[in-house]
Amino acid sequence: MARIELRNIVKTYGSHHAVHNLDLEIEDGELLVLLGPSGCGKSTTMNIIAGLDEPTSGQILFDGADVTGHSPHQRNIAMVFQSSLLYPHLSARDNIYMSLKRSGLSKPEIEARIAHAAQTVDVMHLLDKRPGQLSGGERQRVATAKAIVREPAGFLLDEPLSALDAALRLSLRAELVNLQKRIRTTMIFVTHDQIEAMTMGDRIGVMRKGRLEQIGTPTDIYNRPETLFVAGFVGVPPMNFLKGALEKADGRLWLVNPSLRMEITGEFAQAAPQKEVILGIRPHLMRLTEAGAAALPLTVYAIEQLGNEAIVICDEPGGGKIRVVASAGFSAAIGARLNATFDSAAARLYDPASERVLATSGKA
Amino acid sequence: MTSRNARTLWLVLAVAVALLWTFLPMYWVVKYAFMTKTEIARFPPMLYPHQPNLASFFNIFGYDYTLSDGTVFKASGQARQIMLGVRNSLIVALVVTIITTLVVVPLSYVFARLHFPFKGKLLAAILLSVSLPPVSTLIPFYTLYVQLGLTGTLTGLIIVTLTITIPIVAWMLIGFFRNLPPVELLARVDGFSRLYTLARIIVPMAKSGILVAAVIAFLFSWNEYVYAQILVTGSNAVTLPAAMSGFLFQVPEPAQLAASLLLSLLPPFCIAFFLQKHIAEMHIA
Repeated sequence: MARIELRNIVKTYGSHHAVHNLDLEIEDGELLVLLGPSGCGKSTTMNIIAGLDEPTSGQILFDGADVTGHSPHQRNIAMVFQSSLLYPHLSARDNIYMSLKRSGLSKPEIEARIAHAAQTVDVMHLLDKRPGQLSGGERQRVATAKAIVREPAGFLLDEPLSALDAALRLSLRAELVNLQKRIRTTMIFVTHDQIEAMTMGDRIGVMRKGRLEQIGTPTDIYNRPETLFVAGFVGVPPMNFLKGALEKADGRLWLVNPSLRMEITGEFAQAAPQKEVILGIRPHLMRLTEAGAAALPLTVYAIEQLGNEAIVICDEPGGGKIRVVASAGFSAAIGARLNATFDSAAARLYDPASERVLATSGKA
Repeated sequence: MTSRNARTLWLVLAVAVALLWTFLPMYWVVKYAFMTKTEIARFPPMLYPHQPNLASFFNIFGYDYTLSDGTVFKASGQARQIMLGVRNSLIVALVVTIITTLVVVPLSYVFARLHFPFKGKLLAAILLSVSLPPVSTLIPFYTLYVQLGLTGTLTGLIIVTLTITIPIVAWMLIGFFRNLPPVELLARVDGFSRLYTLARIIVPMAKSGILVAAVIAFLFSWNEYVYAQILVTGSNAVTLPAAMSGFLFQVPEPAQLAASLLLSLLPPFCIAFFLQKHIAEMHIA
């Protein structure tokens, strides 16, 4: 268990920047999820934390001590790789034992640790089987036992669940979080699945093109995305975006586009007027309504029935798609005309040039 | 029901044709081994030996053999060559197998799993040497060997055979190693050195692939004829295929040729029999 710190980490492969000037702090006992699309640098970052990859420049600190030049073993990290990689020719017991082979512990101590780890993740009855004889979920558990048996400073997982089917993923997700809280280890979990990230992480770091876009609690990331990318990447169904201009009139701020004129209230009410902005609003925060100046005219494109609610996917006059959550069983013909509105205080405003959220006071 | 029967019938027929295709020529040779020269020369040919005898098997090892009717078959003049051939072929094949395996396992591992400059070009060089017909290097090797005094020696033959087995076996094993899961990552986290990882993790994991590779090296060496014919025929370093060819060219002895051929089939046959399981495993992998 350790507090892990990354200072100004840069990783380049030739002219390709895999990671740009990354600063990151992971608290002792925290579960941090690194989330991002493939190629965003999240796996590279994890490998650098693990010591499998060396950063081109920058420092890695474990509990304040510089470990940048240390091997994974010296850092005492444990790792679960994609598809819960294990040594295929060894039994589960020997796979777990390999984690301690270089530890210098005595035989009885090793035996006790293996038994304890196996009990923790409930794989005692699988110890004599080989990975080939185990199911996906069992392999995942054995890989976890192999990791925790070392009592690691950091427990790193690189998309361990991505190869499993959906139902199994769901139960293993909870199992891992439960385990992490029980043994209070510092855990870093890499995934491209935003639901996995939201459900597991104490904090989520969203990465894109080698940069950390935003880091924060799942609630923070969901409610207050700081960039357009985070806004669009996190959340199901995805956030709606509307283009328009911010204009000042009668001392109030208005979002104006050819089909909508809406007063901006709340957090962004004091933002500076500008020609182009993008407004983001979650589908759950929109509602169908009567026509009017503050209502957006829409054309039904498709309806997804989810049982507890319905998602109405519509074309908006500006050319984009807008999703509105309606009550379960809502029906309308494809091509039907609807109107939708929302409370502008719940919306977020972004600058299309910088792709970042607008400053809330007009001084920017 | 009838259509299923018809399908089974066709299947049986197809297998029968395939078996006949492979085994008829073999049978023809096996049959020769138990016949006399005059029986072989008869026309129309006998479909099976009417009075099978073991004369040729005794003759090739240097013993006279008397048939029940009193005819004596003299020991073959080639007997010494055949016995030397068996011994030499075994020595060459075993040494070649061991050296090939020792060289090829690390070589293929490095090519399959590590990244280094010029890897592609070096790999192409290995593949190129697989595609070279052995005869094309025969003359250069021969002139070189004459100057080095390596003609007619086992050492010379072993070196030349390695130039065939190493690239072809490396080519096989590179593919095999490539398909192994990336356990090197696990090994690094577990704190094992590269050498330990190769020797104690990769090799046990790749056991069946390495075994099959070794067998291929053995068979290539055991069957190697072209180099042996030019480099060692008539010397003390003669190998079995080269010695056997004596029955073909000098004094044609089809029965003895057939008998020694059967002899030469024994090791590959045994190997195939004992390693079936591993060979099948390698194909699945």
